[in-house]
Amino acid sequence: MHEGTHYWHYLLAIYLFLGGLAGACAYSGTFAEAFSKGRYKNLAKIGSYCVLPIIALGLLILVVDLARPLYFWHFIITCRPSSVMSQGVWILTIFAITGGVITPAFFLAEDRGILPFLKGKEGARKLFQWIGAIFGILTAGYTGVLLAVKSVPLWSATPFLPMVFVASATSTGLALILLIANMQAKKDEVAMGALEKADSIVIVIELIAFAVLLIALSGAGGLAADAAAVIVSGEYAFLFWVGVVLIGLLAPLAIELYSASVAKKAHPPAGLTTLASVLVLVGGLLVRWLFMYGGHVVR
Amino acid sequence: MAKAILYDASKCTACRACYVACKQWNVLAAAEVKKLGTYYNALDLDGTTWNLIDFIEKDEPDRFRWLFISKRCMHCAEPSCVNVCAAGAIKKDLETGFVLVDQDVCIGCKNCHYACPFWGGVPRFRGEISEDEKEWLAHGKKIPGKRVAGTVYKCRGCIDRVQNGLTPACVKTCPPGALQFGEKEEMLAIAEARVAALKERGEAKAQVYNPSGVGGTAVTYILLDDPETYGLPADPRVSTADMLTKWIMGLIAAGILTVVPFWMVFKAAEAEGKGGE
Repeated sequence: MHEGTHYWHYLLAIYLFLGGLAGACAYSGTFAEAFSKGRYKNLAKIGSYCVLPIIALGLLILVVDLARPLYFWHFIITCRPSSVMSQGVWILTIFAITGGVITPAFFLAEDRGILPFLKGKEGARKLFQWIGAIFGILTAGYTGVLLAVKSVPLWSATPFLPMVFVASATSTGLALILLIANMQAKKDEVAMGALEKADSIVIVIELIAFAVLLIALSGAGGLAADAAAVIVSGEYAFLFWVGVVLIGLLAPLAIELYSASVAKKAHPPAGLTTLASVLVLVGGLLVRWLFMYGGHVVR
Repeated sequence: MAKAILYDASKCTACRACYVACKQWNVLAAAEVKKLGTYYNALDLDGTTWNLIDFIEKDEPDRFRWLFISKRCMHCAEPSCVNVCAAGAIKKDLETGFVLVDQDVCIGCKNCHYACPFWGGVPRFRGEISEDEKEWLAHGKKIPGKRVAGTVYKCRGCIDRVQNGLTPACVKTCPPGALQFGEKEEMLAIAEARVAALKERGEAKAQVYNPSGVGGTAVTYILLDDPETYGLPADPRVSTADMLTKWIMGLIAAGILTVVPFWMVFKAAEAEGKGGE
């Protein structure tokens, strides 16, 4: 009955994926550095360099997808706390400035010697990096909450969608940092091992979050149960089980566990690490794709 | 004082005069329809179809029922679309209680469509303005509201008519008197009385539809069956009502991930004693 109302489609799915990815790049790297007392500073650096290009691409997609892109400024002059989209505008703005511009500027000053007045200001760098990390978490959260406050059963009948999105975002953030760390000339095997180990645990948490969401939806009955059935056994079951679960979650999990098991004896093959990272990133995109398209089936 | 449009499904004959009147008053292009062998005109709400009659066939053990419902914006007292609009384009008219889209401000993100709990999302998008409308405007004739390509449209409650002491076009035209317009309280009283009379007549499931989860709706229904039979949610909610819970869930996930695995895994490097670099 609701033909012709599939307004949000793959562009928005890609945007939600990129938003989560950018956020996670910032906070994953920051946590890695902070909790290791600086040992993994390089991971924070890699993560922070990723933020701005990803946000820029995401915003470009978002604006192109608007029906009246030239009126984008209507969002900027509006502050409506009840609208997650409006919250997102402000979260993303602060995140882009602190996590996307200022933090990498400090790293660039250290690496390349540009903006010399920033060089060595570790305290200031960490302050902005932490603000960026916090707003990175909010950015990843917002991509889930945005869908969760709709009247679309798959997205909003239970409060658990943001959990899946944050877990998925975190996994993709770690995977992108891992992918880049793996391409660096001087590889830090220990840091990469830590990333893989962390990501394997995130994947398990994401699987749990998925299970909680689907069980809660099925248990809620009515349209919510129908919505869960769409991805568990219905129209989008193949995308879910093969695309998201097998390719996006279980396959990289298996590779990461294998890498961890051989790591003590030999270096895990670089190609395998790359494959795991790419699978996680593809899987993260498929998660957004699954919810975007699967949500439209039951309204 | 809040107004209400009362639709009585027990009086409606599905003549669709309301549909035509809405199109005429609001200068909306006719929908392109397929001949389906049914009574439908437009099948669904869209940018130029702000109300329509939906037909429900219900097989009951002892009888077959053919039910009608006027699909349209419900004009919620607590509208989800207003809450989610990040451009501030949708506002509630305090005088009448009607929910109105400002076409000049809307930027076409469709957030409101997905937030709306009724009829698969009432606000519908229009990418372009029809030649008819352009011609109409070119002749200096007035169109109620505005026409801007790339924005969402929906029922405006004929606010221009109401502000001039008239009833909405659909109400004005309704031959069997299935649509009424007036003060909300008055309409509710009429609805309650009508439901009581229907029940007396043996319509056990007759009921007033004015759901409290959205603060009540300015479009109030008298139904002959459960809301679900008509495709209405039994207990619609303001979509943003549990926004805080959902944010907390996202942040709990972030909190869990901060401790397990980040704290656990990356902390180990510190304990290991600064190898590498």
